[in-house]
Amino acid sequence: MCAFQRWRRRVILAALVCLMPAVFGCEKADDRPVHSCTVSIRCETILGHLDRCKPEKRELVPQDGWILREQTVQFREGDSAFDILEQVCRENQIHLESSLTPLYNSVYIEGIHNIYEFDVGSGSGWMFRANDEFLNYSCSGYQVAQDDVLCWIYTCDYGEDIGGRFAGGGAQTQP
Amino acid sequence: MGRGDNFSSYHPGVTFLYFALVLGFSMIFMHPACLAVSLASALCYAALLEGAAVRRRIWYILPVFLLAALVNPLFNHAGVTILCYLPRGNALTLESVAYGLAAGGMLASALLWLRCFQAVITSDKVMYLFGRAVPALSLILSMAMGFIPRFRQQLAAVNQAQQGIGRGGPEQSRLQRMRVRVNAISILVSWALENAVDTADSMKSRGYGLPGRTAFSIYRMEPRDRGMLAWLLWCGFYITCGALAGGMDFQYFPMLRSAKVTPLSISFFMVYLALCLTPVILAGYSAWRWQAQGGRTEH
Repeated sequence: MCAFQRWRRRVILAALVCLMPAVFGCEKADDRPVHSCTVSIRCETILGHLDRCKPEKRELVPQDGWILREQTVQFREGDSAFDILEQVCRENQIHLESSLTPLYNSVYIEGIHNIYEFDVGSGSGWMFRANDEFLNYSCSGYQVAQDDVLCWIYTCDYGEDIGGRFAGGGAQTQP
Repeated sequence: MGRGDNFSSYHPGVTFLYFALVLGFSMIFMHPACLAVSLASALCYAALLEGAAVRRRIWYILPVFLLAALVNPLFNHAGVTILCYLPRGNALTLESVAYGLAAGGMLASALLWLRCFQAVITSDKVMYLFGRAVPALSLILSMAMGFIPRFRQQLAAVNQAQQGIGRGGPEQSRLQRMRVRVNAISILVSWALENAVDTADSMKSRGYGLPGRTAFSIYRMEPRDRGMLAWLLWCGFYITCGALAGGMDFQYFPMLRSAKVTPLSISFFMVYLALCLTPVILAGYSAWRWQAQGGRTEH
């Protein structure tokens, strides 16, 4: 009985020692340098295809197509574009649904502001543009730099209607 | 079968139509009012059929309901009303919680209706209804429906017989008793196989499923059955029209929205309630008439 108690005390002590870095690590402030970039979310392409849009989603589409007007936000060095999107959506109370594929550690944006992929026909969904360039990988894999211009745009036609045909995979060569 | 239920004594075609309508509507209509009507009526009818014991027997439906209600918000993040954020970063929305509750309610009411179905549509009624059209399938169905109760009865009989020759009694050790139990299962399985072969042989030799063979049945279409049939058909028609006209629509995503509530749409829900409660109303009416005529109350 005595040996058991001694062992129990040792285990508790060991657990406490192990937990200490975690506890103090939480309190330590994030000291990565702060930068700023520009973020916007838009879906004006739907306005031209309202007939194809699911009826229950029509009223969600803003009159001018802007879900989030261009906004300058602060971020920490090393943040990915997805981190910034998540932060901005929470601050502005914008709905966002994403799914993570752990194998590629890549995040797919399923829907923003309750406008989802396939809501305006089979070629519709969200695309990500950084500094006027569509990337053909996830926004969670893009490390943001100072003064970047990030934009999430809704396409109704595999990226063709927003100039991102190549990244959308519609055609392999650009005209 | 419940003592107070005289809906089960109606023609099998009529009772089957009732369950087909009620089950179909319960599974199609996702309007909260429809789900509430269906769930409440199914509970009432189950209580009528099984008496007070129903409370102990249907507890398993609660976990089914809770599981459906909890799982949906974990995987479905659509909806405009954000309540809070899940650890993975996606939102917990009011709409997905509401949809989870609705799906759970639908599942629970379907389970309850099937429970009533099983009590009312006995295996001989299944044979009567489908014996001519699909002989093999209805035989299998009716055998499967009676399978578990008959198995349990036979198991009790086997155990009793074993104890009668001094095996598996309380005076024996645990290991010995376990051995007897396993043996009983083996006896049971061979009994079931032999029984199935016997049944098949017997039915074949009597010409089951042959063309021109008639079957005795105790069911007759009486005026009250025709009246009930007309009532069920009218209800089904009225509710189907209401549903097609959009009076019972309910949208869960992206925001909760009900079809406009008008006197006409309320009438759809009332007819649905009357349809679901038909057996309960019938039982209440006949009990009242029995008393009004000076009959003695049941104890």
